[in-house]
Amino acid sequence: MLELGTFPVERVIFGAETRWHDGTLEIDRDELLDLVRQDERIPWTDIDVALPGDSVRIINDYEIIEPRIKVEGKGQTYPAIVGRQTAAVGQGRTHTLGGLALVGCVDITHSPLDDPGLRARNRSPGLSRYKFIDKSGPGAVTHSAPLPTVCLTIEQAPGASSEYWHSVAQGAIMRVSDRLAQTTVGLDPPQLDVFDTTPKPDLPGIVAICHMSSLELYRGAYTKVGTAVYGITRAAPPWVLEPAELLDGAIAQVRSRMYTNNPLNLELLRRHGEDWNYLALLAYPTNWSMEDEKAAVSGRVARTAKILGAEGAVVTTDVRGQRMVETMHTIQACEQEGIKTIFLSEEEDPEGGKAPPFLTFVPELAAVVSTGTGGWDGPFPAVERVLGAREPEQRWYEEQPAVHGRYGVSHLGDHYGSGKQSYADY
Amino acid sequence: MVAKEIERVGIPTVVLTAIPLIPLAVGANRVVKGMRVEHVCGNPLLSKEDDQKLQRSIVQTALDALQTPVDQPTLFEPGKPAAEREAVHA
Repeated sequence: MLELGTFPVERVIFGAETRWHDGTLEIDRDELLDLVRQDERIPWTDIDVALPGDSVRIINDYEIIEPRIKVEGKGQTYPAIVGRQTAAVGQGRTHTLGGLALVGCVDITHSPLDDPGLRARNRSPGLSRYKFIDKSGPGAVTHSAPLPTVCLTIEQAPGASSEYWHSVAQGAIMRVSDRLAQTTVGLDPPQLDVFDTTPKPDLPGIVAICHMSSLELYRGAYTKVGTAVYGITRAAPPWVLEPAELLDGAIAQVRSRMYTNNPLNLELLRRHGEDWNYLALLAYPTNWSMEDEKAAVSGRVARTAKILGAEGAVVTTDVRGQRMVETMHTIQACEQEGIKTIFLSEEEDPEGGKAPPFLTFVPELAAVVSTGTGGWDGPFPAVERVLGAREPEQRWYEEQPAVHGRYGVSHLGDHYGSGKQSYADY
Repeated sequence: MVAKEIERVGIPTVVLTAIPLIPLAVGANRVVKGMRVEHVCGNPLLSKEDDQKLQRSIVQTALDALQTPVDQPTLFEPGKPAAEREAVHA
């Protein structure tokens, strides 16, 4: 059982001390900058505030996280990443700065481009200009766009490798996140939710199955970069997680907030004990490159769901391309196990009905909920401020072209139905 | 998709791939299963001699497939007889 105390953040202001009061997060900028500069390897850093409606564009986002802190019970939020405590989470009491986005940006202008994903995108100009967050205007559609934001920018040291710099940058982001969440310690939360997933009788059991792309294929087995479950990024058979573990950040990095505040997980939790028993979230870090591996591990996911007693499953995936194959194998294997399966996903641009919405499919794929194509027509008008780099290129201040959602390109990155775009596409 | 278009004008085609589910789903006629996405036609973990044998068997399977008449999506696996696969979605 987990108690989640929410301290809503409606405004962020700079002030003389760092504290939360009545929906306002006041931050002492110098205190936070000193926290970042504790690591002498960081050559330059800055902290800004961006509120919804501000003429601001954020680039180079590396992490989007909601500051959370464990105030009762064992463990630490966002466990096992960058040297944090490894104990299992999801129990006791956690406080969160509800609705705040801490966006950590890494400026690699003076660093070698050794990140395989970034290198691939930079070879194709059309792929390098889609990832940014507008805070106002018709292009303010990503899931952190409507949230009050603390933007932390860290310049990567010249010559530092991306793997090495990950621990530096993520570590600094976590120091700031912990400090902000600390403002809630000792205060009574305005909102307290209790999440108890003890099964109730006579209700069907369901699971969520989240396919998450692992960077192991590109960066090696020991990489710490990318979405991690308890700090581990490798492709693996499914992690059986209690749904409340996500609320403590058991799945973290890149877009930690997408998992702590996951709308699918939260809705399945809220209706637990009324409409179903929410048995587990199966976190499936994937990117197998052999068809037999894909089929074997996806089969194991379905078997695990069956052993847990699932009668229904909601399947998601966080990336397109050949990763879609293990997703389809999972759907097929679940249906063959007698588990009714719904697929919640972004889709490819169907190009006016001429192209299939998914790279591949299986006959068992019967129920699909689309979260859109990931593209957005904008417009993304010119902005007054650009955050996320020491000296942003002039082009980022100018109007940005529409983003066409397709393989490798998703401006929205909405795999769980966080935003409004899924019906805007139709 | 390219394979289907080439096939349509009367030229037999083979798709050699690590991930057969994709071409089989779109209805390619002859699909040969290779090794991995990173190295479709071999395996760098093997010795040079063994890797050459593996490469040869995969390529030979593709050439054999090319000479095999088929009327629906069919999977050919190196070292195994051709198994007729039902088109998932032709």
